[in-house]
Amino acid sequence: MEDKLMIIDPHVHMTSRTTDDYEVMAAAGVVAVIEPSFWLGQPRTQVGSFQDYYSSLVGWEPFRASQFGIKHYCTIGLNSKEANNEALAEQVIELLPLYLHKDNVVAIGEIGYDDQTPAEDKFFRMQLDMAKELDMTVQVHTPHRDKKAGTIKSMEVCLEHGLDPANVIIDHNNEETVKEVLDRGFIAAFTIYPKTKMGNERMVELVRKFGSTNIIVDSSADWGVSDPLAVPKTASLMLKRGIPKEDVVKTCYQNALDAFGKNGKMKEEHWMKPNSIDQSQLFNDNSVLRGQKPRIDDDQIT
Amino acid sequence: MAYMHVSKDIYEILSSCAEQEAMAWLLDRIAKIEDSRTTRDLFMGYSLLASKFSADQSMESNPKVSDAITLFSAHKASLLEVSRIYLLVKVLEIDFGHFSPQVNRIIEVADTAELETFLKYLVLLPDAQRFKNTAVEALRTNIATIFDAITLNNLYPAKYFNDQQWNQMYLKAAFMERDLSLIQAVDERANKDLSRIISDYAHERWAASRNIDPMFWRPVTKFIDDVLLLDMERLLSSDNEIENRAGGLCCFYSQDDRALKLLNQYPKLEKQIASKEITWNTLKK
Repeated sequence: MEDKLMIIDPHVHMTSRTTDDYEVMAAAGVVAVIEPSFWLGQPRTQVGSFQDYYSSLVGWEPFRASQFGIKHYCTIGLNSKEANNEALAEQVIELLPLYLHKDNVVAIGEIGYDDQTPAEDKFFRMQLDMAKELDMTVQVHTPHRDKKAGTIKSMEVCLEHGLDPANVIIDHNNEETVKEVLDRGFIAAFTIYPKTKMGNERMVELVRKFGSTNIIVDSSADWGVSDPLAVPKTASLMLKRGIPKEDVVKTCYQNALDAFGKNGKMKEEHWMKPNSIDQSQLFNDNSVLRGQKPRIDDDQIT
Repeated sequence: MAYMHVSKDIYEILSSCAEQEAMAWLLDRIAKIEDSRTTRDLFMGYSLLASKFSADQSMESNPKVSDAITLFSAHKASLLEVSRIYLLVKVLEIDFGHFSPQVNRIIEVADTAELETFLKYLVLLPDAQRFKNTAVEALRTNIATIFDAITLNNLYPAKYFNDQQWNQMYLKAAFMERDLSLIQAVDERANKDLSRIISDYAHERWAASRNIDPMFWRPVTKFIDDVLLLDMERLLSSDNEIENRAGGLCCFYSQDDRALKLLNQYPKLEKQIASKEITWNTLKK
């Protein structure tokens, strides 16, 4: 297709999605995704549940994505909701460093505040210290309630812990928070939710008003009502509404690559010169196929 | 072979290749771990190795030979791999009882590249038999690089596997068509049960008109019975010259009268084997 844009969705919980989603995402131009570690809709009660979840984010899920021609990265961290189980959180924090250096881990995330409790604060700070020591990018989840104050507090705490704001992505922004985030030199990500919160018509107007520097669009699609095509659909709407292509490329591709590519693990060559898709490969004896004929692309796209 | 002063040997080879700054950081970090004994210092230190030591730079060969160094150069180990093994060996030497649960945890959550490293050099860890579960679990994988890491050019299985585990490894290596000549101590670990398994597997393959790597037969040498004697006859009369040689080698070293008598019918081959012109090492040359 002429002029088809390459898209990165830098916040999508693919663990909760089906192979149909991978197929339509690839068809819509999504070349890479970043899967932040988050909660799974119900709190975990054992550190082993976290361990197996993180292991799937660095093992099985990248393999599954590769079967559909999509490069999968992830961010590893203890989410704010589950930070409130302090005894468990201590054990999870202890485990985190063993994942942070792995091949597809591009940042510590998504971490931050939910109800802005003292426990959330404690574990957020511990993870910021880790980011500082390991020189890693941070992906911050901002709260749904008391959002503006929570967002400002998140940024202040990051600065207090000596992080470079250019290396911190503040996620789930809206019209109320974006200016503060950009003015302080942080990167502002926007989650496009269907029906509620940040719809993509609003996103178009935001880009018109604030431009494309340090602004990233994502879907945050997960196990709830959400749209894994939110980024390509927003890109398409922006073009229709007359936003210059250059700005669309920056907000739906390049800025995410620049922000999450800093530690050198996320590279354009991963999808520009991909290994051809080979669905006959097995990972630990499991295939994503259930009796279908494997699709094998012999030729690389040049 | 006993690995004495392992961490000292590894330190020498690592410091001869790595940057001074990285080595200074590593020594400092180990002192910190030794002092605090916390899981956090160990895990953070382990994680940081990836940013201090190159995964792309291989160890240069070093004239000073020790067992550990030979092992690293045989596998073309990267600096990152050597630094990872050094850290694990070092903390286990400092206090095995205290640090072995953490080392186990590091191994448990390894990704593919890390697991390959651990398996290749498992034999260097102090009290290495305590890590046997990891080694045996690796036999169940279908990822060829993981299987190869424990099976090929590795002394760990010969040293620590029981017969059942050894036989499982040997058969799966043949099944996965790995290079059997790279398995260490095949003669020493040969056993009667394995020779029965080899014969059964061969009959299965023959029934399906499929070939078998002639190298596969080596462990039956000391266990020739009635069934295997017929297998030897088949090998010696085969059209495949390498099968002839494999059969000849098994018979020659069998110390079994009937097998030796069988080999007498092939005087040229017998002579070549007696003169060491043909050995298991030159089987396919």
